[in-house]
Amino acid sequence: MAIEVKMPQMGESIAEGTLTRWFKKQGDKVTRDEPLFEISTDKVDAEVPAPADGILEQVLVAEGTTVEVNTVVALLGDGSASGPTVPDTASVEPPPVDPPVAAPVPQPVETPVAEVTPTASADSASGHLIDVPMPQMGESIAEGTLTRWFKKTGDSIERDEPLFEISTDKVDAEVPAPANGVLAEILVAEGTTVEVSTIVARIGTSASSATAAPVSVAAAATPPAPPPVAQPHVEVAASASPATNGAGRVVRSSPLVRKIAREHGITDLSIIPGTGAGGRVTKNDILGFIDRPATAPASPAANPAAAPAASPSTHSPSTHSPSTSSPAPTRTTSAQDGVTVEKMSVMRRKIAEHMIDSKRTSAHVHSVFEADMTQIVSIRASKKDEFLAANGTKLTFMPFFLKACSDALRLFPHVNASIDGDEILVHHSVNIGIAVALENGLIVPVIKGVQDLSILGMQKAVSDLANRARGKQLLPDEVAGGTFTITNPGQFGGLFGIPIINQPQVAILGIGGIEKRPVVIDGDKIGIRDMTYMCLSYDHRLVDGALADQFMAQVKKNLESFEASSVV
Amino acid sequence: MSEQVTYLEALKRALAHSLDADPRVVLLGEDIATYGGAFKLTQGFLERFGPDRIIDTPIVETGLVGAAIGAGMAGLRPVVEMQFIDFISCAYNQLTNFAATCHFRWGQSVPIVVRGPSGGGVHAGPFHSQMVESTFLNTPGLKVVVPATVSDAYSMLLGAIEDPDPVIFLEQKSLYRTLKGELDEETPPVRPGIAALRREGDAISIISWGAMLHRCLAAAESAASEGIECEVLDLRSLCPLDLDAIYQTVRQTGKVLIVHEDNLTGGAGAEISARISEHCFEDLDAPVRRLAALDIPIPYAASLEDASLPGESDILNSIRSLCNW
Repeated sequence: MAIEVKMPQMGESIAEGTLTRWFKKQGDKVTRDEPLFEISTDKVDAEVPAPADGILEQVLVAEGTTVEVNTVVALLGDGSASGPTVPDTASVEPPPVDPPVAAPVPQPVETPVAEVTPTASADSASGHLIDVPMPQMGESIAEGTLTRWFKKTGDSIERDEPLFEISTDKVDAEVPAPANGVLAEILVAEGTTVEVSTIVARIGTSASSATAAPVSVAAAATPPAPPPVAQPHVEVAASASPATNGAGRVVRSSPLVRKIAREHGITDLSIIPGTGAGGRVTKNDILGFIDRPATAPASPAANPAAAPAASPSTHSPSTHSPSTSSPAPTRTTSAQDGVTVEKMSVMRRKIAEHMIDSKRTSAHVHSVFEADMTQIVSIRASKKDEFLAANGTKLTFMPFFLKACSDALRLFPHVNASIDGDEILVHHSVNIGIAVALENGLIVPVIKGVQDLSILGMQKAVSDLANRARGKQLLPDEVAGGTFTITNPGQFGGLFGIPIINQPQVAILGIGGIEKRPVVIDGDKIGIRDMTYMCLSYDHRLVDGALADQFMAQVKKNLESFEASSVV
Repeated sequence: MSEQVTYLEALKRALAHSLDADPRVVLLGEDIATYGGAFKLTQGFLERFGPDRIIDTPIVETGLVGAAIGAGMAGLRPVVEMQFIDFISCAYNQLTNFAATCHFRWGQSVPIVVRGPSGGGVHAGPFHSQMVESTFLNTPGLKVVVPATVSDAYSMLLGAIEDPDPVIFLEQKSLYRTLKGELDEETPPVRPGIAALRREGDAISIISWGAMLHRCLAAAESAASEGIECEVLDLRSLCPLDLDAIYQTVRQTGKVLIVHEDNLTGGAGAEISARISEHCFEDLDAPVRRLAALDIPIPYAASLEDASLPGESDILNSIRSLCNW
């Protein structure tokens, strides 16, 4: 049996040592306690005696090599046979030469590389593969675009020589090679944007040059990594989110808050409104949250722990449409402070989320026009009884606005658009959402294909959707797919409102109340006209002021030149 | 019987009381006898206690600390004055290699007190303004006391003189004549290692000591007028550290602000913060914050010195920001 001779521990704090000299060479006979090799550590130089009598069958670590404590540096045999006693490699492998360097590899020579690197050149096959990751070019940089390779596969490179060029939000930079070797594989093509730490290339190092890079330890010790791209992202997301809600948003909190949550069985912190910096859930927030339901005459269902634990799935926008849920707000009164505390309904939360999200997403700009509605008011007055009798539904002003907008949107299709990343989606169909106020919120059912509808068709769609919205009978499809939105903040007498864009659309029209006002008409006369203000909120990322105002001028013109004949 | 006295007067009375009560107590220092001390802290002592007990020494800090160590080992209770604590570094070897290790090496008690005016706030420049506390915190065997109040100046100096181990007693010269308070000379000695809660609150724990304590208390009052009630813990001694009191206040509030006059890097605040992180991680509602002197020698110019030390408004701002975290 071969005896392993290990790098000894020369002091408590010594983790590695350099083997400076062999006193024996392979095949020499050694006696126990006879100096076998010499080592040098941070603190001492020392001769290491042979642990037993025998023959130095194999020297595994060459002179001048630094290895970790307990690394096997040689094998001592009884001299009977070097072949059978030493596993396979011994007979195949010529003398020392090939130290697997830094790694404390117990088995001498492995050749894990060859099959991994079909593209690697011959001399790299006996070395290691070093992964070259996309470097982190600044604390806040999560990704970078690889703009240029300075080397191609098969080129030999030297450590610190520029290998590729990257471009990030903040800097462009040349990235040097981490080691000497041959560029074995290019995994990320020029022009590709990848996340920090994604492996972009592998460098094959020859055995003799492998000493350079500390990376080689990891590279040699781990199996070849699967293709790069998406995977690091998944890992980062998974490990970096100790508490996320269903939508994947990270909920900020503190160790104390998480402990309190655990003690109270709260698994989803996102249900607790955070008042700390950046929406952080603070101790007071969670204590307030816990205190609240506890004072109520709680049934098991109202238990604070049970409700949050069950709720995460309802947070996901994909599974939830406001119209399908009808949560009754739970009311509890906090006796101490004279404040009535109401739990936000799911719809309320979704509205809050969407509105804030929209403000954050779009560059809101507003343009206010006024329109003379006298003509439409008189058309409606003259037609409404007849309309009701014939169609069983009242004639409102909404179809007139729908028609005016739809026609204008056909002329200015970039207002009937949405933004997806850095692409603009210009919609061929005019699908107009109409904000319908509900008792505890609002909802925006969408009339699809408005451009193909008559005034009657529009009115029927409006009445039907509004009724079903109030009856909570809308289908998820009916609140999706809008390309433009109209809201009517004037119904209680407001002059006009400044609406928030309904994402991912780029414009929303707010219509004020129609009221009689003295206005200048026909040159120098003052007349009493039915006037309304209209405010268009639009996303300046896509819609510039000129386009918005042209669109609004067209809406105004459409409204003011309405023909009675179009209402049949 | 209590009366209003200065911080300096309280120290003086503690020394006089010890000299009266214990014949083993002797004072050594530069100009403490004939001249009465640079701050007149020992004025009249020579006449009252005689040249055998009130001893003027040459300007050799290492020599006078060494002499005190020998005297202490021989059975006396020497109290050494550093004219300015900044020069204690000249006696570093005597204190760290010798005084601090005797007990561990052969069970020899070294009952000496090295006291002196420390800290800034009097525009005395880099050699007469230092806080040297952190220098001695990682020398096991030394105790470090920093009294902040008139009563503590008295009772903790008595406690230091009684203590069987070498004690570094850091008086705050900015408080010498500016701080007045009640002193009851019947107050019993206070040994190092027990913190004092100076103010109760539920929002933030402010941990401080020495002259900074008063700025913290003032800032805490301002914060209270904004509805933020801070707890203020006066550590009083840094070695031993009253960890129980620290953990207790952290668990009370979940947010911690440590304020000290020594430099930030490697200061006592770093150790306290680390202990809190290790032992109270799950009680923290915000990261532990530190306010300390800038990592520079104390500047001479008054405006620069003020800027280099934590001020009341700095503390108040930290309180607000921690509260909103």
